[in-house]
Amino acid sequence: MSKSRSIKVEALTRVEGEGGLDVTMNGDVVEDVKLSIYEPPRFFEGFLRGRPLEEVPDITARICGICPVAYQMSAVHALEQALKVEITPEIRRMRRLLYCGEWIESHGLHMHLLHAPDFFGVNSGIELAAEFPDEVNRGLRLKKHGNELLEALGGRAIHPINVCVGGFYRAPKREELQKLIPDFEWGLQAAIDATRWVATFDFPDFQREYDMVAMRHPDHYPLNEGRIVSTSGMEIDVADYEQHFAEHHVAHSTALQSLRTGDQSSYHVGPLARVNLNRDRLSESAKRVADETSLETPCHNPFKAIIARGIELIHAYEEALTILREYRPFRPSRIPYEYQVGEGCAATEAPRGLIYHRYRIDENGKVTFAKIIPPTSQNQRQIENDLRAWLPHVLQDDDRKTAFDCERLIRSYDPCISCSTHFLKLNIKRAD
Amino acid sequence: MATTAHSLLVGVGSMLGDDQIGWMVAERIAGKLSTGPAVSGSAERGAAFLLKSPSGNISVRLATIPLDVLDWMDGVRRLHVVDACRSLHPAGKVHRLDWSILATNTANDSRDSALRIGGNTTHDFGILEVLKLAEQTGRLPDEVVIWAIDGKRFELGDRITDEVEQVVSSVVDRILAEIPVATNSNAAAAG
Repeated sequence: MSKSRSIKVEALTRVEGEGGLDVTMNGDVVEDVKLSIYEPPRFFEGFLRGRPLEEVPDITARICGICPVAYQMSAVHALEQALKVEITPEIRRMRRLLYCGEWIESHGLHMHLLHAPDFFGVNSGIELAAEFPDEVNRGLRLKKHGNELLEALGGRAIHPINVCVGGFYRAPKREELQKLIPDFEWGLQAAIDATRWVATFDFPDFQREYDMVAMRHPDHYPLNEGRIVSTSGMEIDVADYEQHFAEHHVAHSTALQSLRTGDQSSYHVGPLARVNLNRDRLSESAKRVADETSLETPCHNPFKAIIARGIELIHAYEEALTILREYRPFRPSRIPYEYQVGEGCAATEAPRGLIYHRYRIDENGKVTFAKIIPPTSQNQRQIENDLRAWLPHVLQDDDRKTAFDCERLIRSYDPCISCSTHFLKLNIKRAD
Repeated sequence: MATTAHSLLVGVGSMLGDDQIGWMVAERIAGKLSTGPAVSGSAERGAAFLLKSPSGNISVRLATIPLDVLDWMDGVRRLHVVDACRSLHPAGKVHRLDWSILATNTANDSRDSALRIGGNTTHDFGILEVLKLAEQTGRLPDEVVIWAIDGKRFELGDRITDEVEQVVSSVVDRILAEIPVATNSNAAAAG
């Protein structure tokens, strides 16, 4: 007689937002896996309708305290397309610098305090700090650097206020950015050390067949611009995103799930996808450390995303340092525009992966339509599919250990549930 | 921005009903301390920012993400944190929690209240976790006091309840009695 088993994670820990996981087993067969996102829907797209387009960067920034820049950058690029605004190379460069700050803050935090504890069997960054105080302190310093850059350029560490459609409200003074350089020089070496450290972790032997999706730019590692490419060979303009990806509602989640159109398959976005698809665009130090580590090309082991984050952390420091050293205040700090009826879309690379925005505006500069697709929505189905494949590896353990191992896999994606609710508890049902 | 203040007061909060109490107390104290124009930033609640102080020996900050408090601890000797909490006590009950006692005493009433300090947190780092992390990594100031105020409504769209709002003044007075700073009147008198 087959035996059913139910494993439930009531509330996922070390992720942003509220969600759970329900797994139903019949003997050794995984019958159902549901990433249950019960955080209330947030209706940001609805809030934006009727609002002046100038408010969009500040409103969308409020979707997340960890990755507000991703929302701001996606929003301003989409709106600028709708308004036919061409930004200057200087503005483009400073937007990359701002995004580097967010990557440094987010990756530094996730690597050291959220994901690393999983590799040592401890429950939190606090427990990890008892064994690795220097490493945890390093993570905290890296996070602080990211925040300081956001504060210097964005006007505020959380929910920056200096970003506007057309550029920046104010170009920072040279000395405001120059004073960050010594810390960032220390941070670059610390990021290299951190990446070498995580590369020594004991990774589960777990390989998946992924269709990995990320942006790709002819000259740069992807942040704000580029075409959308995948490991399956897709290469499209951002304008064609909705022809290739579509959101679907599932009953167990307040977050929509994105799938490829056509075969309705899941896909993977995030640091692993970006490194796999853009390794040749990494900065010199990042490329060198990537070659030193165990990160194969392409890497299809989701647990190794922590190495990819480290490599991107190095890249972000190196690029930020280049921009900081060369910085001169620029004019104009923003490009003027006139209201016109229009529609625009943009995709950028949030720390957790590709993010897509589309807006329509009217002749008075009011938003008439908004669509926001965050990375966690895009990874949700892939996480469920990964769990189906991962569960047979961990089912021999008791429910508590099985649940921990499932959470561990989920955390490798650094999901931002708050962002995706428009999204964790583990519940495994095993039939008797 | 490096914080070199001798004392740091942080109001932790959000816009969710009674979770605003930390911000309200911090703003009130900043207003009492400021000798210049109205305290900047009060219209931009929800973010962490530095408020003015007359003597330079105290910084007042508003935080939404408790983890950010770690970034402000360098050079700080005395830290007071104000946050909402949920315990079995009625709304408006004020708990003064001394970290040196809190960290070692797991059985008393204060500990029970403190375990539910704060509203929604980011990545599981509530203010208690942040303070534990600061302690583990050698960053914790010498003196840490948590002012936890019981609330009962923490949902989006909730207004702060009367019972909670009514204790703002008394919490402000109690904190200022513990932190030796010049207020508006005595700062002016001092020249």
